[in-house]
Amino acid sequence: MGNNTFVAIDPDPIHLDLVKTFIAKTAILRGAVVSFHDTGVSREVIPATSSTGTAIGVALNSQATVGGEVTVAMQGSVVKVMVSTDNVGIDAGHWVTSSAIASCVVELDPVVSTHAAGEAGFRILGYTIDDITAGALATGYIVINVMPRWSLSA
Amino acid sequence: MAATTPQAFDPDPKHLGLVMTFYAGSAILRGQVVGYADAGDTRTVIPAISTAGIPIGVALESQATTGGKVPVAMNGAVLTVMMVDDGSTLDAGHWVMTGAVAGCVIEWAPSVIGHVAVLSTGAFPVGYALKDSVLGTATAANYGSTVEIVVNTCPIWCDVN
Repeated sequence: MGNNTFVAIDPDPIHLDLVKTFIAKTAILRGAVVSFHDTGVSREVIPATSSTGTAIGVALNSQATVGGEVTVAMQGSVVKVMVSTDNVGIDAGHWVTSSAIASCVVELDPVVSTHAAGEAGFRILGYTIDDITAGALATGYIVINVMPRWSLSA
Repeated sequence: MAATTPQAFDPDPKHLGLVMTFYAGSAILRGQVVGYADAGDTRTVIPAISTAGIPIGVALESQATTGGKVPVAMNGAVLTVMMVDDGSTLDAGHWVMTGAVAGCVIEWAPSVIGHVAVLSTGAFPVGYALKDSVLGTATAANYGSTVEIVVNTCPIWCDVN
């Protein structure tokens, strides 16, 4: 099993709902899952990971320049995302979260006692509508439906 | 009080949010809550139940043929769903989840201790009520209570116990 290294992909939207423009706090690639930083700054986003930030959607364009604009498909949109590891498939209908690999997703771990407290930690991004077949740089469609994560930690 | 007999009815949408067409994995009745099976297949849905699958919305048409198309009202839709028995009650604002009768809902149970520790089997939230529920009727084809909801699906949370 190997980690995917995210490369720019066409998120190929089936449906766009809420779409807003944000400022790139670091370089962002098209199709990346993006989030606010832990100590979020107004309308600034970064590539999302499971160790930092609050995922909000998927970048519709690449932005190499810090401070440049990036358009983000948000709640209700139906777009493609990349899975974080190359030999893991995801069944249709399963929920996905931000992952250890920046910009990618992984299947939701629903066990609250394993979840970190506070702002750092994975966030729920949405659910798949198609089976995603395991493979290098595997991608699949999700319905974006972000929400907070629950934990047992203080 | 008797269990609802799953039957087609008009979900009477007051608002439609995301609507997509799916394939029926088994026969589906208009107005049923539908979702992916445990080992979900690409864009294939079945009547949702609390012991299997992940709900995504409400069928806008019946589809008797496996593999046939069915339009589904998803997040953001405001429409009516049926509850698991004719005496079910629900207050406005309360969340609902999949129930033991296919395509029907019950009031949300929030305790994570009571939730199963798996991803795709269990009672998933479907949305929340906009109005108090309306009692059903005990007939030969028992008609369950109904309630108008905002479709707003979510994952379930659990703890290892």
